[in-house]
Amino acid sequence: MQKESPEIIITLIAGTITFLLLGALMISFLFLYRRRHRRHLQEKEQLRLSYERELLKSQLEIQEQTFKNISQEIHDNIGQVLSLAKLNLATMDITQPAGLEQKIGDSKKLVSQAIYDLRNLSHGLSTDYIADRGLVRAIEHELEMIKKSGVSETVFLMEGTGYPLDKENELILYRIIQETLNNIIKHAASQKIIIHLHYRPEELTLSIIDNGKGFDLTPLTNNSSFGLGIKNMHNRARLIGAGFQISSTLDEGTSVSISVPVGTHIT
Amino acid sequence: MSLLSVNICFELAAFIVSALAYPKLKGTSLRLFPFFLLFIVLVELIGRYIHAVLLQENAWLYNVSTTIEFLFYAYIFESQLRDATFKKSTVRFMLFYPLLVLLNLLFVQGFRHFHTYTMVVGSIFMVIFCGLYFYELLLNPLEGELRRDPMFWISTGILFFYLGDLSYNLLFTLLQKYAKNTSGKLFQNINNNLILMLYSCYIIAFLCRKNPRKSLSP
Repeated sequence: MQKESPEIIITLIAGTITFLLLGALMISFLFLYRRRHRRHLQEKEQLRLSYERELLKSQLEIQEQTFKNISQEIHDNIGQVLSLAKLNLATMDITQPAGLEQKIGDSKKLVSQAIYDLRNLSHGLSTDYIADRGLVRAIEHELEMIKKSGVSETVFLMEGTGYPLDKENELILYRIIQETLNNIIKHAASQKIIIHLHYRPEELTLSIIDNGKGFDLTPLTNNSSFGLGIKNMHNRARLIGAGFQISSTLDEGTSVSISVPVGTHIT
Repeated sequence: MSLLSVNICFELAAFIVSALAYPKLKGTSLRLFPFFLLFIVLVELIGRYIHAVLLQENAWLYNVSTTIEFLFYAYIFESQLRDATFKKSTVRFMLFYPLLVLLNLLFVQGFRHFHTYTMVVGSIFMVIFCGLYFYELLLNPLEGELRRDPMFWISTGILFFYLGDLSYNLLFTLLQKYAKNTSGKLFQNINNNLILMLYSCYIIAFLCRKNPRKSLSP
């Protein structure tokens, strides 16, 4: 009888174990891959949902801001002009025709001014505010309003050939700008606000600079409620794939910079 | 020697579970499983009877039954796979494999011996078909929970069974020459455990709640 070879038995055992491990590897890979893919899709879906939520929030905030502006404009400007026109009309004396012509002329001018301002305001009531005007025009309008209110001097600079961004992204970007301007008006006490738009083929860089009193950025790194607005802006920028930077020096001013890569959109 | 072994008990259990799940399997290719499992149980009983009672060679019976097994699994994969090329490969296998077995039995290994050469070929193809099925599962990661997919369990059982037996069938000639006794016992142990695993997977598959994928072929 031929002596049995242990090597061949070892080969058989090793081969069987190797093949079975290969099978286990295949199944494990399948499970892991599917789990990872599902998690990835869930994250993507979550991102999409939060993007939509932010978009809706931005739309509502823009609307709210618009109503606030309109209310302020009616109270501070149109209301005053019309009151003045009313005063003119009330002080007219038909028995003294000498000053009558002057007062009628002045009243006409005041009413025309009120009509012009009202027309301007009605444009701002459009629901597709940014889509209708475009980002550049919307920023210019925003700066005009600030200038008109006398709060601060404004400068708008634009470099490169402008191009439209994704409609939803423009809206979120506009809301960040509006919030930054609000913060400047409320807290910075600046004399000058500069908005600089730089359109490059690969990205749009937006800078908002003021020469106000500036502030200490250190508390922003803590989890305090201080700077919630800034954190919110930062989150919004991240949602549209944009970079958000803020720098501030006490008594010198603050600069906010947002860079939006072209073609960023959450799907 | 009793005709009923642990393996046959597992095969019988798988048959009963699949028969109970039959109403759920209607309209899918898996509806054939109860019949297939009944066939397996009968083959095992007859095989043991020939060997233990009649004391005769039963290789011819397993040559036929394993060929039918391969054809049945290929048919199941054909109905479960989606990609047209993958489907075609299973159809080609169904056409050529019986011819290959016949040629092997006629001219190479003979009818009285177990067809290990064509077993290797069949096993490799089964592993490939399982791989293709898993690949399609990778491409559709959102499609249901794997643990509740009967075909996943069936493929897993088939994969491990044929991968486990592959080494023995590949080394069969050498084992017969250099380690006939030891390898025979070892193979029996390995094979018995693989059979338990295979039929356990079938039992889980038919206990799954999710309805199996309906055949996409016309």
